[in-house]
Amino acid sequence: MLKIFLQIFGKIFLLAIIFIAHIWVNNVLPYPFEHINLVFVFLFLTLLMNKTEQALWYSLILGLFLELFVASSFGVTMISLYFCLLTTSWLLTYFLTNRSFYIITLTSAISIFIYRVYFLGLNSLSNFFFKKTFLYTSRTFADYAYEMALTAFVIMFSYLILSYWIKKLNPKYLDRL
Amino acid sequence: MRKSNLQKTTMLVGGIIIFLVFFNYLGGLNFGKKTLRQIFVPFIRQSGDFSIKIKDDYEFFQNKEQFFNAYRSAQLSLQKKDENEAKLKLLEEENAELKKQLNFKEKTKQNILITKVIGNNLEGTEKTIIIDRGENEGIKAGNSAIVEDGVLVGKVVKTDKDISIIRLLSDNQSKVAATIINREKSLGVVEGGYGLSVRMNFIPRNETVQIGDLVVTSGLEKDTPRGLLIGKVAAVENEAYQPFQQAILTPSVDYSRFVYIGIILTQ
Repeated sequence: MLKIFLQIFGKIFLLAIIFIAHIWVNNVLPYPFEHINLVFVFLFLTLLMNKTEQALWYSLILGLFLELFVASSFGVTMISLYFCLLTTSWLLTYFLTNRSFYIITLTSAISIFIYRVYFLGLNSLSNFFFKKTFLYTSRTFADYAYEMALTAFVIMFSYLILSYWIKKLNPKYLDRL
Repeated sequence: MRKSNLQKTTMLVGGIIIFLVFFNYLGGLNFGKKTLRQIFVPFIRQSGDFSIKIKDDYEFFQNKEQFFNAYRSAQLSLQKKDENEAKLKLLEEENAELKKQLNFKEKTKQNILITKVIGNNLEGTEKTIIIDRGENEGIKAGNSAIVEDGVLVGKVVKTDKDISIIRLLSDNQSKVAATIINREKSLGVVEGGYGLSVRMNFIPRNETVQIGDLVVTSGLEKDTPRGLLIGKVAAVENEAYQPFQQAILTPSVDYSRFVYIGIILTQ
């Protein structure tokens, strides 16, 4: 019982560290590097290790943390992350099954694109039913493009480094899972 | 077996998300949100302070202390001069109009609430800041945010009981109705999303806009009073094939260095 409690507490502490790191990246780095989405990097790498259930739980908690400090309606970020992870997990299982670093980069870029599609769709619905808080401009999409490119690059770089130490990320060990 | 575990987790997490969203809109999550914010706000504040500190260190000047003080006071006095110039021109015109009329109304004094900036938006693609006051102090979505005595920096877009989120003018979703202090009093829309500068669009092509002209709010929007300084025209784009001309503005303040923000409260 104590072991389970400590495991849960440890995971929540890890998520808090990830969120604090995301805060620092967002506030300290200059434009356009402030668009790097560390929360997304962490969730995507968790998905790559075939831990989809864990990634979903992590997205719930990290999404809740993000909801406290974003301008969009409550629930938009959480729901977008949730559906994005489900879609990405499906893509990784049935379509983009290769685990080479260029496919990982492509998948991460597609995944962020999917996340933003869900995000824009939910914000549109929110504007339709509630008070309008979100406007689309060409600059919005430019910022999303920066986020896609930079976050995918960070994921690729992290994957290359982590695959040396974590077996589950290394394609050589995939057939043993 | 694994697939059924995944299905169960999917349903469970989805159910919890729906529950949290409904519970939030019923007001049940306020205590939890406040507690979590209190945990993370110090980190946001620290990172914001650190960000301002390192941006100051990017100046690469030799004589640090005295020169920084002189530089900041020069910026402040220049900003005040621009505000006063804009106010003076508007006052002169208003005075001339009022003299033509027999009856006129007294100006109501604006109710300004001073708030502290506790961090930036964590969404990543938005230029918004978080302040430490919310609905409990009378702040509503749409209220204007100013610094100094009357430099518009953004608008409140979301409020909670104890915090509010302000969208800065440099955000790509920001749009403000503005007027240029020129002969024609050209109207247009100031939009953000261009890095450090903002642009004024939809200026009629037949009106003369010069570099150095001041841009202020036009007062045509609800909750945004007239005369709040936005910036100065730095460049003008007037192409023959475009229906309107554009002006690139230099904002009167640096949007990355706020410590205190004033919110203009409305009834």
